[in-house]
Amino acid sequence: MSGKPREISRRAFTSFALAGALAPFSAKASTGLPQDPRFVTPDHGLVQTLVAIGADLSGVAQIPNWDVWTIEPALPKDVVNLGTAQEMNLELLQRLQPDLILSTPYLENVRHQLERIAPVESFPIHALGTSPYPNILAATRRLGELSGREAAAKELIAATERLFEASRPKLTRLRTHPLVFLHFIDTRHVRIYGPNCIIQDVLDRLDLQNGWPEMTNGWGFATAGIERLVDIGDAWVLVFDPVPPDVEALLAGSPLWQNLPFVQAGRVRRFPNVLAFGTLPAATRMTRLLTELELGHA
Amino acid sequence: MLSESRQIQLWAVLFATLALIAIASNLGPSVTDLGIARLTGTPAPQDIDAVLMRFSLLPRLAMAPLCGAALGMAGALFQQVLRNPLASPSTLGVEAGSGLAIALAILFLPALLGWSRDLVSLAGAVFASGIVFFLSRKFAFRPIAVVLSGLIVGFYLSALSSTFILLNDYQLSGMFIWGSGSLSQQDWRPFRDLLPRVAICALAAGLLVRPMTALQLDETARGLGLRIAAIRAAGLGIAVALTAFTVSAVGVIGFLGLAAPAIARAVGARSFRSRLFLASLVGACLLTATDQSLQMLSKVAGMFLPAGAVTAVLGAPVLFLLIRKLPVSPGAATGAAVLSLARRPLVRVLGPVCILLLCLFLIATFIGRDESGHWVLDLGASLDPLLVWRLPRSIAAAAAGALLSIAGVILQRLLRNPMASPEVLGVNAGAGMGLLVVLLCVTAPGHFALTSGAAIGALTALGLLIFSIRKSSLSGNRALMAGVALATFLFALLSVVTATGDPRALLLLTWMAGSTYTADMTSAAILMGVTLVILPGLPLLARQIDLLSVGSDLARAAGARVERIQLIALTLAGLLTAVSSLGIGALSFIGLIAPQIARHAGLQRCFPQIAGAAMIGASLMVAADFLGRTIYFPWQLPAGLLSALIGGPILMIVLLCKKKA
Repeated sequence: MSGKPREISRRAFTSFALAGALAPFSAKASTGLPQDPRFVTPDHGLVQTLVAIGADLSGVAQIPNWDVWTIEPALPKDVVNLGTAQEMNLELLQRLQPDLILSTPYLENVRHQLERIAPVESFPIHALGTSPYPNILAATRRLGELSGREAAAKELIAATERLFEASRPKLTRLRTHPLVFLHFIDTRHVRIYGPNCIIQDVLDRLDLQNGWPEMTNGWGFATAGIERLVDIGDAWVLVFDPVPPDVEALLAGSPLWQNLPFVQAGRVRRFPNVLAFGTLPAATRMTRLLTELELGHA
Repeated sequence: MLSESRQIQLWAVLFATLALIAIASNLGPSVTDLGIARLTGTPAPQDIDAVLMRFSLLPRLAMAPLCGAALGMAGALFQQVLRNPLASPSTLGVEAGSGLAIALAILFLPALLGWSRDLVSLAGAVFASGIVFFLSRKFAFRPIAVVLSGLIVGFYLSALSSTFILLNDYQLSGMFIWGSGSLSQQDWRPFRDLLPRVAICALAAGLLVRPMTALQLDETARGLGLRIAAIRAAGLGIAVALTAFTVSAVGVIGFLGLAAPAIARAVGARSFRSRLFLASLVGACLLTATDQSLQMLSKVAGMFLPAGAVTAVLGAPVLFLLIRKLPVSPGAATGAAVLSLARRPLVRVLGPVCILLLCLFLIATFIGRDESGHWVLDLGASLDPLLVWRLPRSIAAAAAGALLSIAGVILQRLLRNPMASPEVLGVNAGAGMGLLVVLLCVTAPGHFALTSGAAIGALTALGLLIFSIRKSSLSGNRALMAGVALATFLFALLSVVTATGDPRALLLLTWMAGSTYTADMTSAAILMGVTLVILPGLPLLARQIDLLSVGSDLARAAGARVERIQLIALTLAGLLTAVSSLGIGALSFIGLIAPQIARHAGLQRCFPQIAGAAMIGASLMVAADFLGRTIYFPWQLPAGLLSALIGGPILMIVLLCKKKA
């Protein structure tokens, strides 16, 4: 009578300890969340994935930015705005009582405060000096686990890959010249996207060439004066919306702009915005927009 | 010994040579390659190198000295009229006005920018300086009045635009570049617009040289029958115009306006005429040399480097080295001497302020907003989970407000300059620098790493400051210049990073705006503890500082150990600033404004002013913190910014009411 329970308890202890040690690696055991957990997050990229897999989202930061910069997929109507991404309203978070806070490495300095409200899981995706795509896939799978929607997450990844495959043959007309994606910051400066950014990842997967020959920072963009566009030769230049209102009039009168090879060749087009720090829905949006792009005669 | 004009000629040649070397090594090779034929006549579209040279590099080469000269000249004018070596184009809020106008236009009326970005920015500048002129006209443009109202208007407007930037960082990302002054050009038009404007201003400044020189003599000038107010207004008007035109063309290149006249004075330009000339030249050469070197550097580094901020990074150490050569000039006109101030007993001021502070504390603890944004009174069980968010913030805000105000009184008394706020010590710039280094070097730094970084930065800056003062005894404007040079250097480095679009910069921007967001029980306890520890020593220190108020020579004759008192007081001010910046971020406007409110409320002696300012500062910060987290719910506005938005008008009302009485 005395030996048996002890033995069982020892075995139980061992297996318990093992499970505990493996918890961070084994998917299902680690979440410890309720059936349909309610998430809050400051990051629009994570929100894109959560919405796409149908997870329950109660709060998001910077909601007014969504329709201008993130756009897709449509944000559910009842999601509460949490304020800015770097300072989410803590009292409001406390009142919302989320099950999990999906954070980014930029918020590590307030992690101890967020943890008072709910468990925090941080998702390093961008600014690691590498392509964000593998991190996006990992995050998608992890969000699937956390929300109990593994199948939806797998399907999101598969659908994205299928879209890349299906779109690749449709884009031959974009392979005659390299492409350059940029935002106008003001009338004299642009932000040009390249390696370390999801925009580069999409170009790579579609066998398209990026025409920006120089370095980009950890987030995958370079800030430059317009005169530096001399370096891109005769690429297609795709200008992301929104463009400051005085840019076009000013460029029209600028001899430098007018003499740039791609302007001379008429290879400048506006392009609807794609969230540069986005996740898979941003990639599919960009792919679809590329296939729909009207190039006209040039 | 060379004569003044001879010496100035020598320096002028030296500066010009420096700029020419930079130009030759950057543009020389490509200009020779291109040859005259390809640089003149109609540009051939295929000849992209020639196009680049003609429509980007050459206009940029023309723009740099023009902007530099305009800002140097503006700085010399400001410093002459305001008789304050710290006066610069940013003193009058010109840049802040421009920035706010552009930010507002981007957010609410983009069509206005489409019409003319230039004029929007100019209108903002005119609006800001208009308010300053309106306020200081009542005081006959006396330096102290102009400086105070300029600082307040400037702080107020830039607090507003920082708030907009924090809330709309995507739309307003261009403001970062604007704020760090990029000279990048694609056209001759901006230069063609700016040249005649600057030329007219320079001509007008030339006409004012004689009467403005007489202004130096102040009271004597009145005897000579000069219309002092009119001359001051004219001088300020020209300086404002020069700044506004430059800012609307290239953005903020703030540091030149401060440094160029200081460098001119340091290398021996004694008369106003030579200072005006040399400051313009120094400004032109410094900016050109910097911008040319930058172009070479960014070709190699592949990084975007804005000229305005980099000029400050390079120029600040030069200023630092030249400080010892600065003549111990008449310094700033002091407050009490110019504005006759009433006296009131401490109790009559402190009583109401204490009651106010208590009320504010209660409001901040019990009132909030719920999920749907309705105002609610939280009591009992619903208050419990919220207390952990509300109390530490209120306590930290109150303590930091008190500490900064005490530091502010000490500094303003010690340095006898109403512009001396805790940030002129460069201590919180040091903390910011520490933060920046940690942010850039550590992946995903946590609370502890960031706080330690900030602490190390603050202490290093404080050490540097004490070292530089010990070496060249504390003579008002020298100490100030050392602090300002340090602060400028560090903040310029920060703005280089923000201009590259690095998203981590937003974290720093929030911190610089004075955010109580990260305050928790630990930091609140530390801030409160420091406040309680220093309280008993304050009456003693105040008596010592009062001893110095007669001037250091007289005080020394009366047996005061002047240097020791100065060193202790300054170290204390630095420590207080450091502690509060670790707790609630960097914006120390409260340290400028609370002492002024206390003084204008009638607290003239040092200890009453310290006590009054501490309570006023604490009340302001508690109010600012409460409003910051509720008024624009769910967005949080940094308490530091709101303290400027609340405190500025209060001080203005105090100033104006007294004038009427």
